[in-house]
Amino acid sequence: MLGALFHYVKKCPQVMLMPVRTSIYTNVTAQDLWKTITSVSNAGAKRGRAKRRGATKFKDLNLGQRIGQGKSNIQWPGLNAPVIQGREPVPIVERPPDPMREQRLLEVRNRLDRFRRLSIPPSERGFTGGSPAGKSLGQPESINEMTFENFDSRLIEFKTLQRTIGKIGRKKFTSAFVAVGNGQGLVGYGKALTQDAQQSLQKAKTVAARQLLYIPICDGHTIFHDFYEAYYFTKVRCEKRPPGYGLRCHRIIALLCRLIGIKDMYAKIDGAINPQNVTKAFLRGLLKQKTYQDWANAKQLHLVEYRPEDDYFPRLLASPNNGQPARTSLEIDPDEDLDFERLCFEGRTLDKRQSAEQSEPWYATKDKTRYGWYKYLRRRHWETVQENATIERLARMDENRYDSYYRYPDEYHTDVLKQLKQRVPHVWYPRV
Amino acid sequence: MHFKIEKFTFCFITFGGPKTDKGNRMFRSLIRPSTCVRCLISRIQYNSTSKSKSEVDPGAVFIRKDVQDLLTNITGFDLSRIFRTRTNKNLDRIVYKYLTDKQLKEEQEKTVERGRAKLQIPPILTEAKENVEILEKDEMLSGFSPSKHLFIDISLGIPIRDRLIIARDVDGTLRTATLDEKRRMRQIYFPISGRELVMPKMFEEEQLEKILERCDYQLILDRACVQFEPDEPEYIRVTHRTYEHIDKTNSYDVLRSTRHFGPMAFYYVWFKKVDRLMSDMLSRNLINDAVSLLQLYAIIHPDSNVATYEFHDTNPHRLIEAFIDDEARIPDLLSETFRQYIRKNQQAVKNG
Repeated sequence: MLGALFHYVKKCPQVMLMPVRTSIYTNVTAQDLWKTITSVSNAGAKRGRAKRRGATKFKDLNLGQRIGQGKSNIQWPGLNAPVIQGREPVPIVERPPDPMREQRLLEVRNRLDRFRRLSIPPSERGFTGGSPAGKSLGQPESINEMTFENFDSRLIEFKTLQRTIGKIGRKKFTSAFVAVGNGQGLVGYGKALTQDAQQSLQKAKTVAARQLLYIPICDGHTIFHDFYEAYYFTKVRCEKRPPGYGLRCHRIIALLCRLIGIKDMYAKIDGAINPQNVTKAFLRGLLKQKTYQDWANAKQLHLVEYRPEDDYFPRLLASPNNGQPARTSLEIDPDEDLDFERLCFEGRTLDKRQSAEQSEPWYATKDKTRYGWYKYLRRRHWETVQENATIERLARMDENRYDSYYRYPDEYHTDVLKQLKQRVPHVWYPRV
Repeated sequence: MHFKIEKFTFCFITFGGPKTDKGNRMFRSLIRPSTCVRCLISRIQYNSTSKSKSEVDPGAVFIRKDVQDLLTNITGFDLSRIFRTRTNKNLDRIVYKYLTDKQLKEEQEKTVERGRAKLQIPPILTEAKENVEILEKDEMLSGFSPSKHLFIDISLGIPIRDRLIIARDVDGTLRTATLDEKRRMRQIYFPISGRELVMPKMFEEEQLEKILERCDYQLILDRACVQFEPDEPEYIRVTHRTYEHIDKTNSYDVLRSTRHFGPMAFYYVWFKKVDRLMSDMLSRNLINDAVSLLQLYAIIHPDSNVATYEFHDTNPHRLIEAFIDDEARIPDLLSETFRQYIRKNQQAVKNG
């Protein structure tokens, strides 16, 4: 049949027959073509080869292109140009080719490749920017009539596990450990294990919201007294601190303190740092706190508090109120332990070993100190040693810059300090 | 005697005997805020050399025992205010102790003593006058050094204010030091922590206004006590300005149960500006304090009508009425507050 056509064409030169060459670009869909590169076998999929490593992504090559525009820049009326412009029909015009077209397409296609990491604003970040631990999960959903206003939930631990189930093989699960609190004494923690990540977060949140504990706070900012609590191999030691100290704790304990409403505390974790055990130990210790009345009754003596901010004024916290009077010094055994701090820790004391020797100053060890970095250190030595005097001196010299220092001379704000310590370049400050 | 010099040169100085006495005796009262009042009373020493009768020395009046008792009465003694939290910079640990009954009583007594010590009234003295005594003139020594030399006696056992401070000028004259030189030398060789060599900018007039605006009186007065001696003109200027501001804003209660209430009351009585303070006392039902103020007035101004009142027998109401009639500068305000006080009193009596 083709041969007969061929002979016919040879005889009649006006008819031109172009044999259409079929290729894969015309016979097969884009999806099938991409499948040849991206497909992974079943066994491979189970082993996780489909997603991350060694997998090419399906790229839509139509992006960045419009119908009617190709390598030759032709204006097709009805397609990429209007049919009638004014009163006249628009002709088919061939314009000179666009040199930037290839570049633009490449840019678009390259952008699809790059793995873009979403930038999270600082207020929404958890412990670190990348991991979900420490992030807020919003308000817990209301149960029946109970609404959880002022409650915040935080993700403490997020794990992906695998379990080998018979017949199916390995199955992926996600475990979430969430804590919920309202900043005024109510906290709860909950755990959930599901296949879907989002579901496990929500489930854990509802579990936590159902199991709330009330923790009494002293003076609205700290715990009542120091305590020690262990849960399995995690040991937590918490100490009471005065207002203004802040939360100097492990990030999980600090997170819980913020949910409870504790603002000043010191905590040290010894042993294993397992997030779930840390929370359990901490909350158990908080719940086990005794009132001052209990402490006074336990020893049958008056309990007196000396606060440094009140210039160590003795304040009577509690007197024994179980009918018997306070003991006299004759009734107290001389070997009896009346150290409140030690009693809080139930006889445990800190192992204060000698720390490594403090680093020697630069002028103790260095021989040549007239050049380079050490020359700079020599120049700045007096200022580092006499910080307050330096600040006074600088403040005296340049009034306009340190106006806020004069208004509040007894409060050295950190930003004012920073400002004062900044040195303007190329200005010679004479020694006043 | 050992001499310590500003520059690193040594020389022995001989001059005519110890300091001359009688007329030119320059005893400085050892009045630092930490000295107890009883010591002051036993060492009444005047600061002014000019003893003209027109210039009465407030220091002499201040030191009297009855004046001191009146001032301590007016100041009050509220332990919770004496030991209250000022600025919480001390982040040390809180201390808990188990105490027996006896120990508790002892602690409470100790705090009362500590409170009393905290309420020591900083003394009021006249402004110190410069008394530069030229000890020797030696023109042969002129130009021996490009700067003057100052000498201070650092032997043991001498009170700081009694120490000998001498200057040798560039032209060779040997003289006793000026007040400023003395202040600086004392601070260099016998430093008091918290005291600066250069007066802090906080006490300059402009900056002082800014702090007074936000009513931080205790800061100013406490720092003035540390920075200055009570006979320095700067101290007098700063304290007087603060008392004026307190008077205008009627914020006397800020200083109650602090050591500064006494000198403040003394200032008002001395300059006869008692009215607002008295009305403040009446509005707080402190009639005994008001009567103590009148007694103080009588002592400080023995020429006035108040000195003729009899404070022992008469009813306190009558005393105040008499004062309103005689010496009050703002009688309307005082009479109004007095009337309100009487009304409150009567109501309280009715209620039982």
